[in-house]
Amino acid sequence: MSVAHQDMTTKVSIAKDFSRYPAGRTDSDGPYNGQKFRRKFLVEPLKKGRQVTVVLDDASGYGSSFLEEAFGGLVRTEGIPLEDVKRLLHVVAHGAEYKPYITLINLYIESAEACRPIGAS
Amino acid sequence: MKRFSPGRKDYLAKHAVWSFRQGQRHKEWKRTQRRRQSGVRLGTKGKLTASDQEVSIVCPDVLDLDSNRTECVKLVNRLRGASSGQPPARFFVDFKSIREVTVPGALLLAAELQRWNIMHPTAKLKAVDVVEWDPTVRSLLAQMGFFDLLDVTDEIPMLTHTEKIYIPFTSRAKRNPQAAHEWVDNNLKNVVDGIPMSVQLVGAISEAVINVMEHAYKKQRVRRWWLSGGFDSSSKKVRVIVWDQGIGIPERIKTHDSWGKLARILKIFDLTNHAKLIEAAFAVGKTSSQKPYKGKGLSDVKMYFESINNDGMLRVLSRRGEFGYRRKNGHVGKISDNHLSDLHGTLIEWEFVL
Repeated sequence: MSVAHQDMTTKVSIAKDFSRYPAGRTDSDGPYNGQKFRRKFLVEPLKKGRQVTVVLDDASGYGSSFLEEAFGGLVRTEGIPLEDVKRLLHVVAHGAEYKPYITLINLYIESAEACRPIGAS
Repeated sequence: MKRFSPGRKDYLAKHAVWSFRQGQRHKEWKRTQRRRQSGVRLGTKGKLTASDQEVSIVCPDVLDLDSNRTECVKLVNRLRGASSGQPPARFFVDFKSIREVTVPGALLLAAELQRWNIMHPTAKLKAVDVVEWDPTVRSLLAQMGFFDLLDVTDEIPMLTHTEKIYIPFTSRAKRNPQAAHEWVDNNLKNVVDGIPMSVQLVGAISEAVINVMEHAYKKQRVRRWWLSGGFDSSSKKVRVIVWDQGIGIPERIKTHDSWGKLARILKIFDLTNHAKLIEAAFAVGKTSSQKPYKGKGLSDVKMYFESINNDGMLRVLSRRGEFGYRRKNGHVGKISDNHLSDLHGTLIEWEFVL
């Protein structure tokens, strides 16, 4: 794993640091699922107030299950406030095929607010 | 050594014969009981006739769900029925009759044969008279991996310089969407260059596969998905197919929590209109999940079609319904049809022209 840490910013490439074949929500879908990605790369730095940049390029493809679980799950399951996620998380894509996913991910994060655990700040 | 009187010897000999015949009668009775339980019809005098011991299925000459749907569905249902019960003493499927086979037809056939092998692991199917099969059909089925199911060790003569290439199928009993990713990378892209928005195609197939294993099956013993495709170099058409042998979308969507609301919004009054029920699944992306952040399976399927501008088609065949979209010269139209034949499963097909 070669996750770059620069000051308070963490940069992670899904294809290079996690898997070229990310798929599914949980372990029952396979080893490179959204829940695992979220817990391994996103939760800790975001909860500590660190900026996280996620690079989407070079993966074979993304299904909505993986993206919703990995990113929507930050708000829905981990209880991280929506404002914090929007402020600290940056999703980037250089290839044209990957850019549409940025909008989708933002949509999943926004929609997850309605399902956030009760009592989470 | 004990000596017996002649009378005693005679008695013992007759008793031995009687005991032997009793044993034979008992064995025959047991055999009859077993046959009755397996449902095999008995001929006259309790003996099996030659026709009772053998089940023979002749494949249609054209295995194409478009031009010969009734016969194709009949074949699938007969194979499904044969694999569901006790295996007959002899089971013979005549492939020599097939003159033309499409990717969906070949995949459905392969799936039924794989199902048979799973249901009857000690009575796996074997290919016979392969040299007598139509050479083009034989070559295409071999490309798809058909003969791996039939334990064929001899090399299958393959035709070269053909316009059509069928891509080896993959199948899993688990969700395993990664297998779908790998199939695109290692199989589809080996045959087809320049797949438009391949990243989205991978996402669509991946979600279709997850959807199958999460919602398609209820209590069936064989719960799998199959994935295959083909390329026609003359028309530059690419086809990708996902197939399952589940209960079908028209059946599944009626059990959804929001079914009543969905039916009202989409004005679904006739539950025999399976095309409309598939359209409903498309329209709202409904699944049987009760969580609002889930239920995006068919949306992803459609998203790929919407992400490309190529002429092509997306359609779903399930039970008696068929629904989808076709794009020709930039214009998108709907495909909606109901058939008399009942296809037990769901087939998702993406087709596009490079």
